[in-house]
Amino acid sequence: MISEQLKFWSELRPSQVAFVDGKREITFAELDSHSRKIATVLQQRGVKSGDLVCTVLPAYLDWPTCLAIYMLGAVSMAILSSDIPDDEMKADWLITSRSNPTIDSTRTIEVDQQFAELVNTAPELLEPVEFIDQSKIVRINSTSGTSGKKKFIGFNTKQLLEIVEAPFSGDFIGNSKFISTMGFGASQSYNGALRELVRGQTYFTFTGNDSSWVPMISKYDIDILYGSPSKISALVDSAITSGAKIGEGFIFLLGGSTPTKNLVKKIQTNFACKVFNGYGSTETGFIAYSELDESDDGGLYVHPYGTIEIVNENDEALQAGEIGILRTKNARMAEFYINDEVATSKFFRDGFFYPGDMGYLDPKGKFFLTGRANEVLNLGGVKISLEQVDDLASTEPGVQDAAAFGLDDESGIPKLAIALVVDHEFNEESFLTSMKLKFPRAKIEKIFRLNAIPRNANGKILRQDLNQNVIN
Amino acid sequence: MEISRILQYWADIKPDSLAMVEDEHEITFAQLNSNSRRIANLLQINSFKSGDLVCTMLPSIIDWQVTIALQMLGITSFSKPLGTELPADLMPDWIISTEVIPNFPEDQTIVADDNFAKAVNQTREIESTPGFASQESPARYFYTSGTSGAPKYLLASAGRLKEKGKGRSASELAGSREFLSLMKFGSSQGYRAAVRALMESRPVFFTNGVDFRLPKMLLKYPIQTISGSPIQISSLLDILDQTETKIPGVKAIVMSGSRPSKVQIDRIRKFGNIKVFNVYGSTELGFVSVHEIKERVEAPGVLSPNVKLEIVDIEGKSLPRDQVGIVRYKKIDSRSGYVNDAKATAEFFKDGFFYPGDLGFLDSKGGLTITGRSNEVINLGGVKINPSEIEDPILAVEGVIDCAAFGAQDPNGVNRLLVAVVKRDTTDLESIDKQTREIFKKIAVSYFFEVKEIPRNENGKIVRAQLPKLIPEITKAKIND
Repeated sequence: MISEQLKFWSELRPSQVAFVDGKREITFAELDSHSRKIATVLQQRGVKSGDLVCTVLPAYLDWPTCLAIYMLGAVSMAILSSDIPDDEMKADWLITSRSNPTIDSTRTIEVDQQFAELVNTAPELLEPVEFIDQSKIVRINSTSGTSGKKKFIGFNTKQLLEIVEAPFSGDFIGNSKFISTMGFGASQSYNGALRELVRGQTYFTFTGNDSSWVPMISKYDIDILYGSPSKISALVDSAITSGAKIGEGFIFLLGGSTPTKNLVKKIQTNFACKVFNGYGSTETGFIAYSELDESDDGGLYVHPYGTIEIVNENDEALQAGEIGILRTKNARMAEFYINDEVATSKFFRDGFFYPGDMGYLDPKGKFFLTGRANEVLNLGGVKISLEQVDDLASTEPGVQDAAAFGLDDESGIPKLAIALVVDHEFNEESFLTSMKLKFPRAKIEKIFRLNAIPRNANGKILRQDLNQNVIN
Repeated sequence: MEISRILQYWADIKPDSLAMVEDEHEITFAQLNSNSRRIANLLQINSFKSGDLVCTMLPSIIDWQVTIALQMLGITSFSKPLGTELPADLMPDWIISTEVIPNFPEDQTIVADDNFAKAVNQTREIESTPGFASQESPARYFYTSGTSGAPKYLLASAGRLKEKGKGRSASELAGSREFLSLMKFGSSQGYRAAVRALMESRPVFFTNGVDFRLPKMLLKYPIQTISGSPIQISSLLDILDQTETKIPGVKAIVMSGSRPSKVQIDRIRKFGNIKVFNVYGSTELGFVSVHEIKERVEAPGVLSPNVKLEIVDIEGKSLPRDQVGIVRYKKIDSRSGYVNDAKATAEFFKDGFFYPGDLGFLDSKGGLTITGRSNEVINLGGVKINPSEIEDPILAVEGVIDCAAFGAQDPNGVNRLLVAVVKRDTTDLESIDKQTREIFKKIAVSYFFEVKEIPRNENGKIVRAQLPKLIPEITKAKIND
């Protein structure tokens, strides 16, 4: 199915650009030809239908390689960073541009000069394997969530079709052109690239850290830059430093975790741009959005593609305005974790995914996130949302980033602590005074100054790490 | 995904973005949402209810709002152009039209005039939008006339109507973002264009007739692709010529419904570097194949990856590559027939395939060439020819605007080849005859005659059943002589 879509566009509009990774462009004809050649080379190396193939490659190499793996009827798997797959997800092959000593070399296919030459001279694979069984998993992604434990989700052809056929699925802004700054291993990247491929449109990605994403905007008529708050923050800084101009109306879409007010302010003061916040998960994709402008009330509009319900601990639906456990579903979400029944039964129930977030719906169906189910700190009966403390602290002068967490005192009683990244404007005394006024429910007992808040790939705070680091 | 939910979402997220443009009228997502909700409320007050059948005869911009309102209420609808006959076996309970329809009860008619607009403005937005009871509920009828001229109706259930937003519309094949469809909202393509634009939060561009307003619209908005039937594109070119409008923003023209002529392609080329695509498909199953027209008008079409197409003989047996035969195709969720028309259903839907009535072949690379229509082959004493074999060379003659070839029997029962021609004053029939005689060689055109217009359906296909009626008395006399 995917190879047929690629063939269609490569025949109808061969010279249209299909994929842009920074300064590199690949046309539909090149992508089709290149993927088929890679498939031939991989086939010669012994990659066969049903194999699990892990890739650690830059985006412009990863995408044609993923397509080639699909053409061979094998399953592609992305891993974030250079971790090798866990034992329970033993890959048959690792395709990588860096030698990795921790995996058996007979199963490693190194993408080097020699490999490139092999591909260039290889014939194109003429008859790609068709996935007749639409329920067979063809793509695996990993997700760590905030628990830190790596879990794997799989997508079958039916779900991928659902992702690509829905005119909007991942991006909230419909037909807009966007640059993704997520690594290609993120599930949004594969799904996004697939969707643009099927639509005959160009997929744009930028994984660098400098300001060279700015010229891409005018060159390709881009509307949106999308990424995690930490990534976007770094890219915005580089653009400010280089003095780059960005046109009015351009949109920064932040996803993965709630952006700090400082970041939003930084974007809005330096550029006449809009900032949107997307809420979702690797398991479900984005499910709600809001524009962070002056009318922002913290609520998110639920994407019509899926539904959000608020329930109590017995899975009973709550009234509008009542805070409870969020559960969500849509047609293309993952349905279980691979080889992990414990996590599956915890997070997937009755056709819903439970991301572990708390919130409420207002009478108009707008969604308000109040925190994570496991991010509520119980201070001797007083339950406080750590996220709320983060938010309040982030707006204080001199605070660049903040993460509240529970820290047990000598007698094992939890106390409220906060880790801060601060600059010269920061004054501890006035910070504590102001926080006491803004958040009278609990006193901040301890402040830790850090160079950076530990966050996962999506930008979510790893509070467990924070706690351990402090103790050490 | 209910349309009303999608619309509400965009109205929340980007309220001030344009949702629809028709000539000089524009409405935003917030307005489209608010208007549709007010109309829904007003219709409900007027005792419209789920299960009713409503026919709309409205300009596209109003039609879209009313249609969304009807879907909010779970009411079945279809659109017809004003002035066309109501289908006898699909008599609506209500008509919403810009004027009173003769022979239709006035108390079942809502006239969308200034008073109606005022009433809509004074009505509150509907609060709950129940929508259709189930995915199987009848939601919307689309009509297709084919070339026989007899209109047939296709029913889309609520579930299928949602699917309309999936797949690709002809205009998207050119790869640009903003496009103008010259098809009316009421047509299947027009509806798809509107739904897809809504889903993607783009404005949908319509025109209420190809006239002087169109060039203004093309200059005002960043429209990069224009789609329509060849006949609509011709009218567009006429108006551009008359108003001396240049269209540097337009990058592509997508023609569907029938094949454009060489003359038309040459006219388009005069407007600059515009890519021209020709789409082959049907109202019944949508898009099937497409090719970009380069040097030649004819080129093998690239098949849609979602279509299974076969070339078969009369017994349904698959034919080898390069051999001309009967075209049949299906999609994963193909339709199974027409509404209230068992005869046409049996004729066009067989063995899980749709038989569009076309002849063609697949080449060794899988490219599709349509050679003609199976029911249009002219039999001249055993010599079988496709009308297009005659029409194409004639269309290439300077001064010929349009033409149609057909057979007519003389008193002795011999089939004669006749050609109706629409021409400019600068040329005459004798000259056309002389210039094409060389090409036809074995086949002789018995009679050329001039007409003002070739009868074509809404897709630009020639309605051949009407051709014999156009034969002038003088030609008839010659045949009978």
